[in-house]
Amino acid sequence: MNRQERRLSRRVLLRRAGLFGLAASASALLGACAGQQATPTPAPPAASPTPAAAASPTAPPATPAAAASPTATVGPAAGEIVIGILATLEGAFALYGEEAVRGVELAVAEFGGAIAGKKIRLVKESTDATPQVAREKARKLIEQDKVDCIVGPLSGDEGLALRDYAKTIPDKTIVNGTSAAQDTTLRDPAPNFFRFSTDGVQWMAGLGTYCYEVKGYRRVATLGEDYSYPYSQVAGFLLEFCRLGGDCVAQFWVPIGTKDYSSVITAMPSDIDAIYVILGGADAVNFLKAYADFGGKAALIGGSSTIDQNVLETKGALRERVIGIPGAMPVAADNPDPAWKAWVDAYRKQFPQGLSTPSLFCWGYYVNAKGLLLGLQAVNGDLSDGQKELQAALAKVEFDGPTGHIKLDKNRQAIANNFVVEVAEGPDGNLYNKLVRVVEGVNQTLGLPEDKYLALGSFTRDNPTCEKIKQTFGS
Amino acid sequence: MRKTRLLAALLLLLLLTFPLWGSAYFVGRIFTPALFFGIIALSLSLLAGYGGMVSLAQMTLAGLAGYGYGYLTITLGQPWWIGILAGLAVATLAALVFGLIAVRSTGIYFLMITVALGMVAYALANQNRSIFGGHTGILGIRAPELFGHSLVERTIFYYLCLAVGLATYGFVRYLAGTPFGLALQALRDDPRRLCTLGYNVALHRVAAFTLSGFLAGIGGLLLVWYNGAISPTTIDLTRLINILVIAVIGGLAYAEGAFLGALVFVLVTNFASSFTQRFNTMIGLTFLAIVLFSPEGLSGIALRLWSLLRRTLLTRVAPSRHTGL
Amino acid sequence: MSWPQFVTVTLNGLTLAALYFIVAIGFTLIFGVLRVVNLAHGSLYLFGGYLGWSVADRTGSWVLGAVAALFVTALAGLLLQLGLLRRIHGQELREALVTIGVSIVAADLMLARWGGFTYDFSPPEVITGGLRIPLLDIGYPRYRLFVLAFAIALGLILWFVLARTRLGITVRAAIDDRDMVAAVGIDVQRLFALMFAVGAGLAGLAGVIGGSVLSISSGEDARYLLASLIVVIVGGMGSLPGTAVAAVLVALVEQYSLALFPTYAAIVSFLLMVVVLALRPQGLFGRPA
Repeated sequence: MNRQERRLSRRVLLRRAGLFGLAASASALLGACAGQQATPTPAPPAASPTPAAAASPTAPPATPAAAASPTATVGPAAGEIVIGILATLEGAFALYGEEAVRGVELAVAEFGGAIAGKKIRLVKESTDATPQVAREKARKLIEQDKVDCIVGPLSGDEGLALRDYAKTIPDKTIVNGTSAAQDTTLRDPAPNFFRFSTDGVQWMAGLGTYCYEVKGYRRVATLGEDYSYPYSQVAGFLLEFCRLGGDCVAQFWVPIGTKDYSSVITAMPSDIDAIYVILGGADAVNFLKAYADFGGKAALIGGSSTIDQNVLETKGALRERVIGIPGAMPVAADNPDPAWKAWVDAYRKQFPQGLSTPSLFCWGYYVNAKGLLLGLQAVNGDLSDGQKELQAALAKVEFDGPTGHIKLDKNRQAIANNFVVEVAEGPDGNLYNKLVRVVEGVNQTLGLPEDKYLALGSFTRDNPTCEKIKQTFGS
Repeated sequence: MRKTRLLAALLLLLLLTFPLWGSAYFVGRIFTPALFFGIIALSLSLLAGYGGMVSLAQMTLAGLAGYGYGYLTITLGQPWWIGILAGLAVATLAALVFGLIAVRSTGIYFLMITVALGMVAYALANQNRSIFGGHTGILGIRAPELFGHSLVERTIFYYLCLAVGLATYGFVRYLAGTPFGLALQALRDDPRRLCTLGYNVALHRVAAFTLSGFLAGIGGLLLVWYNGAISPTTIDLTRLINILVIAVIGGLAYAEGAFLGALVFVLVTNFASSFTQRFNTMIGLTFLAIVLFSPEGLSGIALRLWSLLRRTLLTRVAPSRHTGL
Repeated sequence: MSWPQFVTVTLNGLTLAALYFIVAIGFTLIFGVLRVVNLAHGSLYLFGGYLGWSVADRTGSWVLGAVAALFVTALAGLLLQLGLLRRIHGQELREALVTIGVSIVAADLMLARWGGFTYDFSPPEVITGGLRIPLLDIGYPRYRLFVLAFAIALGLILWFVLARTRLGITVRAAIDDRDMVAAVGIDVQRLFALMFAVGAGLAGLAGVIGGSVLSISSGEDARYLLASLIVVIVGGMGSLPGTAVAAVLVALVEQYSLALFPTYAAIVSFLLMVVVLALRPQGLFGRPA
């Protein structure tokens, strides 16, 4: 069977080669068009703090373990463990995907590229951040590349898709990448899906309290895109803020893809202390810009993506608008913890072409890969018996990661530290998130009683309201 | 002619025995998706090859069938056969409505209005939570189970897709010879003359579009069973264009082209990302090369190679000098 | 909606309309004269934006960036027309398919070159910052008003060129009857190449002007292609006044719906287009095909 399979794929290869040959022969003429886009335009911005951004995401990996080409051999050879990395290596998120791969490679290097004498081989597969492609590529990793375990995916809806897929492959194991939809592990979890990273609600831990107690905000409005990740971020913020007595007077949910926020800003009530904004990438930039232009007076509070390093590194005149905005996330660039510093050093050493500071995506894939490798170590790399032993061992894995202690709850979801930060200007003039408060051991219900928390139901655009939070948990 | 038949029989034999000798991955993850994407692209071939109407909304229609099935079986908890009927009904009805709106436009206008309709459906699916499930969509959709076997088990599903694929292919080929099919081709070539002959041009267009919606809906049901979920990203602009790319690569005027194009497309999207970061450039260049140099697609190339050997591999679905491309 | 809010939202609509007009006018010119539906129009917009940003960053001059975007994109359009489209001229569908192919390739190559970052322009200080509108006591960004003024000026210039100059007369004649224009001895191929360059250049310029209202990032190509399509189809393809009226209509509808019922705002402008096409397939100002 195996030989036939290889013969077939070779034939397919030939066919594809023919197809691309056709394209290549045509490309002389097409060069007119392709060339015009690639015209030698001025070099990348000199001020760019992340020169690695333009580098190929498939930059030669530093670990020998990762050097194997995905199609060189199919299926695990004797004495080898194959781990699939599922990340978004194409499109606008390619930058995140590169960081994800680095995270896994960092963890593998820590173990010397082998577990109990078995070599670790990595196979990368790219998604376009949509659930259907994530599912398809996970199937390819399992069925064609014959990986033993998968680390990934990157985004929330992909996570839900893989959780459902995990249920159909009980003798394989999936550990999360950075996907952070809460329901992936909170509701209807899969027994072989493990998440050593925290979710979108947990990422808000500490922020509501900080804004109420330190910043003194009492009345806020919220603004976010209309889908599950912003729902969970807003809920995470309100769960703390409202219990302390804060009020949320208006909520704005804009359709995905909204770029012009001017009319939303106009519609904001005037008697508020702050606006909680959860928008990512270009949307965050557009909002911040419009808000400054329209002379918005209320203070801003940022969700995890609103002030993440990707937004802070926007090319251009953003900086004055973001300094001082508080937010919360699972990593903080200037964390004084020696473990964090050692980890950052290891990252810089292994990836000289990487970012100045490893991103949230690197961290997420790193802690998940590390959890998986510790589990593999505990069972001596034994994957027989449908990985039952591995899965049992993984559930018990506890370790001190770069951001502190990480352990799993009964749903195989991480309990870990979270960080309240504020955007600040570094000595080198670059913007970064300054650590202002560490929240230790954040669990999935933010320390609230689980039955009451679950009774709130899945978070949506109108759930939970401030009133409901106060009613359920008392203020 | 006999040689063509012989070749077709051989091909059929290979396809029928494929699960016996092919790799599980190729059976389940390459050929199976190629078959159902082929069916959706076939609905476009029917429209474009016969009716001269190039629609970008075929994936939307397929997706709506998937939503219909998901809504009925998951949200309302109905049995699968009601889901199937509802899915097909939704796709067909949507196609009827789309058709009524779009028939007055032709050519490039038709293409654009179908994009607009597709984007309306996408935006609606993205925003509506009660029926479409918002951005997350509908999760946990299960294929029908018969005699204790789920229809999406690898071999069963392959044969199901193959059977449905062959049936729809046969139907489209058969349609070419019917009075309706002939009228459509006439309508593509010279609508005014057809009008003077007393045919209701608009009615024929709407009927063809509705029929294509039904076909796309069949493909959409297979797609949603295979994925086990449906979300707005299934019907976003990229996926709408993908169906056109598939049909054009295969050859817009050939029923066979839809499946050939789908196979090539699935292969490239599954494997190219392992080799090159810029596989979208590869797909784009291939597409460009075919549009510029071989408007009849891979089917056209194959056909020419075949006739070079003085044989005929494929019979044209719709013999005409103006293929609509 | 309060009175100041109504005024602001209306202004938002009008300034967005200005942006839509600048983007869509190139599209409609190309279609009007060449009958080419240039589905790579969004790619030209994005290319102009990226390129303008890079030039502005290098030289420190936003104006220079805009000028560079205008000319380089015009050149890109010229190459597209002469290199790919000319040989299949007259085959509407095939031309549209070629431009789809170009847009797929262009999106990927631009991503390779400029990455997934967001680019934020810094226009000259004269036209940035906030402006207090007296009486209503509301703040309004000066740059958006500049875009409105720019669009009006551009519209007037185009109108003047089309109505009063020899070139304009030729162009209008070509829009009405290309064969006749060729028959009277005018070099139609040159006219086509020129119009494509102008249309593409305007898209590139819009990339800088529009990119400065919001920002530039990958994915903006599809967004502005769709916006152009809607505006041009509603207004009637090839019609200058149609494009202007439709830009105002579409942008106002978009902004009011975003302020009043954001959940379904994304659908409204597409529905507007569907309704117009269903009732009047040639668009508000278009001639029956």
